[in-house]
This record gives sequence, C-alpha cells and structure tokens, in this order.
Amino acid sequence: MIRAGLTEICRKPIIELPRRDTNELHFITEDGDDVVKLAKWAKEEGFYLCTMVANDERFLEDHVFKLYYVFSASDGKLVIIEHPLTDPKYPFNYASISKYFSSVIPLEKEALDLFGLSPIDNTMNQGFVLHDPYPPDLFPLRPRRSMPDIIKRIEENKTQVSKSESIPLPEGVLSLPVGPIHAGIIEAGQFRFLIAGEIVEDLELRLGYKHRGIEKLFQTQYSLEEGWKLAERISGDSSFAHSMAYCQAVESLAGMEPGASALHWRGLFLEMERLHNHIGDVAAMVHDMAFDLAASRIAVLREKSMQLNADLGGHRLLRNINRPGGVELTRSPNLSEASDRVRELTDQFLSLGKLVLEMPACRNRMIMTGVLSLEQATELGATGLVARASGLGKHDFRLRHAKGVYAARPEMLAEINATIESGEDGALRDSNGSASPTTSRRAQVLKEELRGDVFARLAFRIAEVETSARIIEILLRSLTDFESKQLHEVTPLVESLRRIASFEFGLGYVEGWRGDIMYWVMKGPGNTIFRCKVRDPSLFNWPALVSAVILKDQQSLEEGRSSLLENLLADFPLINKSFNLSCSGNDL
Amino acid sequence: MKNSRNANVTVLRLFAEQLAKLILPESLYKRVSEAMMSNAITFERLRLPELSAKKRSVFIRHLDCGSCNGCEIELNALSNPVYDIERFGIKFESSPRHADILVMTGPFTRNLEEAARLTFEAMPEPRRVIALGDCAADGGVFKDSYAIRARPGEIDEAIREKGVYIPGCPPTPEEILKGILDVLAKN
Ligand code: SF4
Repeated sequence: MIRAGLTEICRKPIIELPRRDTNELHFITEDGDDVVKLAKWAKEEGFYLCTMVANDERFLEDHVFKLYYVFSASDGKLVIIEHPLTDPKYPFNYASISKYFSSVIPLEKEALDLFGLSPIDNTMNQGFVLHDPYPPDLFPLRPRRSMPDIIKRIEENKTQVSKSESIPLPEGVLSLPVGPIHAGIIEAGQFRFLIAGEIVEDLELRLGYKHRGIEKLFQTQYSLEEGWKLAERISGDSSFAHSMAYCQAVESLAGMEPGASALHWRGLFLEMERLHNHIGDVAAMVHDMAFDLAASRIAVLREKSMQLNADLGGHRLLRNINRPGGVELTRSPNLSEASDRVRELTDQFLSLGKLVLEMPACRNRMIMTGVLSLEQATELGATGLVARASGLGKHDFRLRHAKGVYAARPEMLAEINATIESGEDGALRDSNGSASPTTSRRAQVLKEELRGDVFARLAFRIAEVETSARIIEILLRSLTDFESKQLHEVTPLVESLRRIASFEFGLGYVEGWRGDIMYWVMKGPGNTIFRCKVRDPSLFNWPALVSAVILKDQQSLEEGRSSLLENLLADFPLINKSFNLSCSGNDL
Repeated sequence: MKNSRNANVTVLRLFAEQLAKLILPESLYKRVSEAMMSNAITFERLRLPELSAKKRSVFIRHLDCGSCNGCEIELNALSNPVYDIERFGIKFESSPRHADILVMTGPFTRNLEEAARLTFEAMPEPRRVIALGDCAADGGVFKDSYAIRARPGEIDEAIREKGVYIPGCPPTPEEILKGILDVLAKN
C-alpha cells in the first residue's frame, strides 16, 4: 500500500532498501521536492512524524549530509525516508517539510545548532540548544570535531553576548519572564508570558538551558554496549523507558530479540514506571488545586510505588536493569507480595482519584482550563497521554507498534484498548449501564475526558494507572511461572554486532509514560556509536503546552468578549503540571 | 499536659468536621470523610532522631544546573508524609534571598552558568552549598562533555569548606536528609 502510494506520488519508482525488521520500510530519495510531496501525502494518510535525524556522512561512502525521516503509519509500519543532500549548490540546505509536519521544527532547530544544516529559505535563528556562550560555527555533532577541539573553541570564543532587544508591546500588555530558575523544585527553562490583566495573551518558551551534549557523548565516550548508562540519565523520570528504547535499537542492529523472561521483566518495569509517574503527577496537580488532604495521601502512594521499584528492580527510578540483549537483576524479588502491594496501592489511589474528579472545587479549576483541541493536537504532532486526552485515543505505541511482550500478550493490548474505548464509546460512558463493575468505574472516570483540558488529562492519568496495574498483575503472574525466573538474561551481542557492517542503523521505540521515545542508532567501526539520535516526547509536547495555554476561540474574539477558553496566569502552573514535560529530555 | 493537648486536637477536629458539614453538600461530605477516615493509608514515617535533636531550622533553595531530573524527584519526595522534611524545621524556600542552603543538582551546563551564578550571589551570607548527586560531584556520566564546565571557584569553595557532597544517582531521600544533617554538624 505504502510502496504504491509513494511511487504514485513521485511519478517514478522509488528506491527501496531491505530492512531486517519487516515492520520497517526504508526508501531513498535525493530529490527535495519528492520529500515534500511525500510529506504532503503522509499527512493526508494520517502518518505521525517520529523523528528527523540529521547525519554527517561526508566522510563515508556517499560524501554528503543526510536526513532520515521516520514516520509511523497507521497500519503498524514505520516508514524511513532517507534523503541525501546531493545538490552541490546546497550542501547544507534541504527542503523543509514543516508546512505539513510542524513537529519537525524543533528537530530542524537542533540540526541547525548541532550540524549547521538549515532549510532552504531559512528563517530560523541559532540558539535552540546552544546559547550565547557558544561560538556560532561550532556544529559539535560533525564527527570530525573532537571533544577537546570543541571545548577549546568554546573557551576561546570572544563573541559578545547579544542582549535581546525589547519588542514594543501594545498598551496594557505586560511581558513577564519566568525562569530559567524557578521557585519550586523543578527543571530549568524559561517561560515568557505576555499578559493583559490576568489573561495570558502569549507565551514564548526558551529551553536548551540544560543542554549536556548527550548526542556527542554517545559518539565519543560510549560504546554500543555501554550506551545505556547515558540513555537512562537523559530524563530521570523516564529512566527505564529511555534505556529500553536504547537497548531495542542496539538489539535491532544486532538482529536479535531478548528471551521471553527478559521481555516480561521489561514490560513489568515499563508499567511500574508509568505507575509511579502518573501517581506523582496526580499528587502534584491535586496539590496545586489546594486539596492537600488528598494530595499528601496520593504522595504517600507514589512513595510506596517507588519503594516497590526498589524492592523489585533494585533502584527507586528503575535504573541499572536494562542491558542490550536483555535485563540484569541483582536480587530475586518476591513476586506474589509485589502483586498484593500493587493491588492495594492502586485501589487506594483509584478511590482518592475518583474523589478528586467529583469534588466541585477541583472540577471548577480543571474543566475548560488549558484546552488542547483535537485539531491542535493533530496539527502539532502531540504525543503520549496529552494526545490521547485530546481525543487521539489510539495514539499509543504499545498498540500502534506493539513490540516485545506487548506483541506476545494480546490480553495486555486488550486492557489498553479498553481504557481508550471506554472514553470513546458513548454507551459505556453511562455508568448506570450493564457494563461490568471495572469497566463502569473506568467509564465513570473517563466520561468527560475527551475534551483535552486539565480535567481530561487528570482523568486519563487515573485511568492509565488502573490499566497499568492490571498489566503489572498479568506480568507478575507469568513471571512467577517462569521456572528459574532468569534474573540475568542477557544474550551477549558482541558476536552478532561484529558481523553487522559499520554504518548500519537500528531503531528503538517505546511508549514511555510521557509518550513515545525513539532512538536511532548508527553503528561506527568496531563497537562505537557513530550517531545516536534521541527523541524524547517532550520535544513534541512543549509546543502543545503553549497552544493549550494561549488558545482563544475565534468567535468570542470577533465579538469582542472574553472567551471561556482564555487562561489566567494563575492557571499556568496547573496546566503545566497536567502536561508535566521534561526539560532535560528536550535539551539533551 | 498530654491530655490537654489531645483534648485540643479533638476540639479542632470536631470544629473542622462541623465546618466541612456546613460548606460541603451532604452527599459529598459523606464521601470525603469516608474516603479519608475509612480508607486509611498506613505507612511508616522515617525516624531520624539525630536530626530532630538538632532543634535548628534551615531554609533550602534548590538550583538546577542541568540535572536529569532524577535528583529533583528525590528532593520532592522529601516533602511527602513519609519523610515530612518540615517536621525537622527544614523548609524549601522559593527565593534565594531567604535561603540558608543552596542545593545544586546536575553537572553545571554552560547555558545555565549565568543564571546559577546570579542565584548564588542573591543569597545572603552566611550561605552554605550542597552538591547533590554524582553529577554535581564530578559531572557523573556527562563528565567529558563540551556542554559542561567547571563550577565558578567561589561556589566550589563554599561546597568544600562548609557544605557537603551527597553522592548517589540519585541519592535516596534518607541520604539527602543525612547530608543536610552533616551540613548542620559542620557549622
Ligand atoms: S546525579 Fe544522577 S539522578 Fe542526579 S541529576 Fe545526575 S544523573 Fe540525574
């Protein structure tokens, strides 16, 4: 289907390269116009842009820069479009697809800072991740630039720190910069509000403060076998999802999949991570709504789930478990006790969650606050829970691109589907129907959820906690059945990696608690990493947050009255917590 | 003495219940009190007699210098009822101008240099600094990156002389509390 579509769009047969994984399709085109045409078609077909990888292959076979676009098609395939920049007139420029996929913009800004590649007719400025202390022509990810060299050039840099000029504001509008250092214990990033009275007219984000040069570190300091150590420290709250995506990418390079018990362990810990983060987020949101009695109880449950992490996996944030080729656990956990603990804490959580959803004071704060409409969510390429709460129910990589234990256990997918359908299906929303008790509880939680507001995101978090708890129980049960529980199931990859030609790439993707995480790893000579592109869900969801904060409805604007959808400055902390995005995952 | 305190607590509680009855619709009042009273969540509170014995109060300001947000998760956990940091007289402060101790997380990125320096300078003397986590100690996994730089000498000195390093990736909440105890002991 996809092949035929592409050929028709380009009006010529398009070169296809074989991939080991049959779910991945790999096409090459040198023609920039073709890429744009393909993007237009992909948008119409409902594809989702997963990532764009810039790569400096000037010293490899093809002697050019290349871009790799990865799209997720609705039928479970991943479409990779490789685009070498062969036009001698424009060795550093490419035709942008941002007209059709605006989510590509932050990726293009990264490519500009780190490689010096820009769209033809570029209007972007540098400074997305490399701020003023950096010289403008540093381009640290070009492989010939060594780390000591780069550091030397930064330290010799004498360019003046540019003072941002102030833009004249209309009367009555105030500019309010907040950050990068914030009042609470949160990450560093700057929000610049334009406010008229209490209403937020505009919001500009400035991120990149936490840029740690992670992709260069992968290139220079870490081997393929060791890269997980860095991957799990990209965004601490998603430690496990990141290391899992990294390991999958390396495994896909080596052409192997870990054994069944390792896959079960991975599924288990991935869901445990979802559990503790969702519970923590709900606690933070409830705290912001000043319902502290419930908030502190939910915070206890979060603490309990983190203690359970430590008892099962040996680390409160689930680190040091994943290895390329499998998992390594240091102790033999008590699985049946774990199952009781999960059940107890989720039961308590769900009853508190239900209470919060019913409290008039909380509903008042949440409903119609921070609305991300379905159109905006689609347009901006939002991902994860945020997209699902705006009505993109099926946008879940566990369903779209089921891998590992999710592919092996259909009953888990059924659980995930049930959460989504109870939100979509009007009949189920009526809690008086004859649905089973659990379905009706979910339905109750979800009945107002598809509005894309703070309430929807809270309701969806609560529903996903229930789903995760069920998946965890299924997995704990099957892990008890594995005879030796195989704690150290790591298949050595050294041999199989040696057989792989250098400069091949592998994909790893995981639906973390925040959204889909994608790793694109290209092997260098030996067991080095030539390029590792990390794409955290935050990168796509930050623009969605902005859109949710400044959304206005056109009709009220025209009639000159203030609209229901406008947000007050005081709503921002709550909206921000309902998204809970990562700065470190965005800045890399 | 103990009895009178208990009596006070009971009076307060009765008052709160009456108030809740007044302002909440009846069905909701029932739901809230049921959920809160019957569905008791049991947990063990961390005991740290050495810290309670200190009888000193310090205000802490957090400063993110490029962490992975793992250290922040554990810092936030200190406020949950299991650790309940405020019972030791320790409070997280939102302005550096009111803070006694600065807790730095992360490896010190170049992009944050200016903001971090300004935060440090905004604190009144005497100021103490805690370097939290492996990153803050030596850069951790990010050590050799171009985007990381050495901390300004002033801050480094403050850590070495009257502050502490708390190792771990991230350190557990208990380890953080013990680190704060160490700072109090040093001063
Ligand atoms: S020490 Fe570890 S947990 Fe703390 S910021 Fe660094 S990598 Fe993250």
